[in-house]
Amino acid sequence: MVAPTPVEVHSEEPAALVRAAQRGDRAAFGILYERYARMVHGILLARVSYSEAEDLVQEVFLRAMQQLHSLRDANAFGGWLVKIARHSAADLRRKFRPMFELRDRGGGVWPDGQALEVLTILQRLPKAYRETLILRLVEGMTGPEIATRTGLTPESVRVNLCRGMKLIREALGRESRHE
Amino acid sequence: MNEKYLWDRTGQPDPEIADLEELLRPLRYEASPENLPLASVGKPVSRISHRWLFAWKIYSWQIGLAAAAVVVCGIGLGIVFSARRGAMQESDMPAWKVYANGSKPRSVRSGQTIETGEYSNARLESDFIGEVRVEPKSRLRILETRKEEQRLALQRGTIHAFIWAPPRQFVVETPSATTIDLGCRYTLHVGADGRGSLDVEMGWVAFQWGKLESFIPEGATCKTRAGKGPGTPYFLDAEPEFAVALDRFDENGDVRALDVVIRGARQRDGLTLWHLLSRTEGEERGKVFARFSELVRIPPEVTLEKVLRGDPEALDAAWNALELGNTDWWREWKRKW
Repeated sequence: MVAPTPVEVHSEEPAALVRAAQRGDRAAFGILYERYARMVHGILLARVSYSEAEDLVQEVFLRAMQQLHSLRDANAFGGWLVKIARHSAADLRRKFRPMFELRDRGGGVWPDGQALEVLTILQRLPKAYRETLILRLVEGMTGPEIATRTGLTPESVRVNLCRGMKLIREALGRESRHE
Repeated sequence: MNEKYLWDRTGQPDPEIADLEELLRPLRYEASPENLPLASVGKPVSRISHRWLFAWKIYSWQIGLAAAAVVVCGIGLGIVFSARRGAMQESDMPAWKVYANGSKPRSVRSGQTIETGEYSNARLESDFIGEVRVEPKSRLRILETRKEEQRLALQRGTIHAFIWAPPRQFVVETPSATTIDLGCRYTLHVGADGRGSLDVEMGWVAFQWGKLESFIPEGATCKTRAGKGPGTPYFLDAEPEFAVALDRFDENGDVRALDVVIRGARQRDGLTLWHLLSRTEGEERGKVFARFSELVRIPPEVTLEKVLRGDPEALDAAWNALELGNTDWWREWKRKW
């Protein structure tokens, strides 16, 4: 077996990390995972249940690692990863729907029913808004971070956030009136 | 709405956005290297050379045979090692796998909850611990998965546990009592009001809440009440009047119900009477002991006087007289009466 040449990660620029990972540097891929995991989780959470998203994050990164050699433009990694995440969520929806819900604790705090209810409301928003809002409100990313990671323009992210927030306020208002 | 805060979280926090952030924070993904499904992050990725691919094409059946031999040997060694091993090793940290109707197995870890729907059920399996079947409309949370202890919490619904881990390693909390497996198979139910029941089909289970403990052997059952802990265990083949009266006594300390229990006790209901010795006082304890002495051949050192003052050695000896098993094995655990 031909051993790959170990790659030193000299730069933490995303494109350099991607190129290093393409050359077989798992440390570089590990850094990319740490930087992009929340984004992937947020994209998934816009489409699948909370418990499914957790498992699917790993699958997305596994797919990404296996297909990384096919990515020509290292600067397009974020957008490319978003597509893999969307496809993975769609695949899961096609394959099966679980018979039980597996819920997870994050950050030591059990997500109560209210959090999951608000998530359900977020998931009903138009696709562009729900992804951006989940990345902002659930994953804690700022607008500029969302733009950098996903490859969207800052203007698009800003518009999605503002319009999405307006819709979620209306939806929450309706929900509370129904209670 | 403070758009500046929405955009980059600077400026005056928008209360509504901040509330949503706070509410949704527990759903946030925490990236940690162990969640990355890649073996040994930090090591270079191995690549299969053309030579290996070529060799695989040519020698695939021989390689397959060799691999199969390795697997068979591995299984054999695994059986030998597991038979020799008394306790789990760190590297064998039990991984619960959860199976739902027809779905692929998924790993679960502490902090996760399995919630079954109205018509669905799930099954947890661990090679080192055992199997837990989760009935519909149940909620089971994984609290801890340490090698010394597997701790779950049944918040509502029903589970059937078949445990082959060493005693005391499998614990299930309920809103009204904690079950500690002592090597057994049992069914545990928790109702919407927090009341529960435990039916033991094989082995032993300890049911504990604060200082109150019940030891339930095969064929026996025990009810539990929110705020009151485990009731007094009894055998499932006991007369209905006996079970009803015992339930009434556990519920509100009804002395007349206690009399019905004492009168209706059979020889094997010594189990129930033994538990009542530490749940009654004074005159009532004396009456329970009198009936216990009629039904069970107790050694001379077990006297009324010792029992009335709750002498642990006398209670141990009384237990041993039931011939349900020696107290030594669970004395190591903990005793609080």
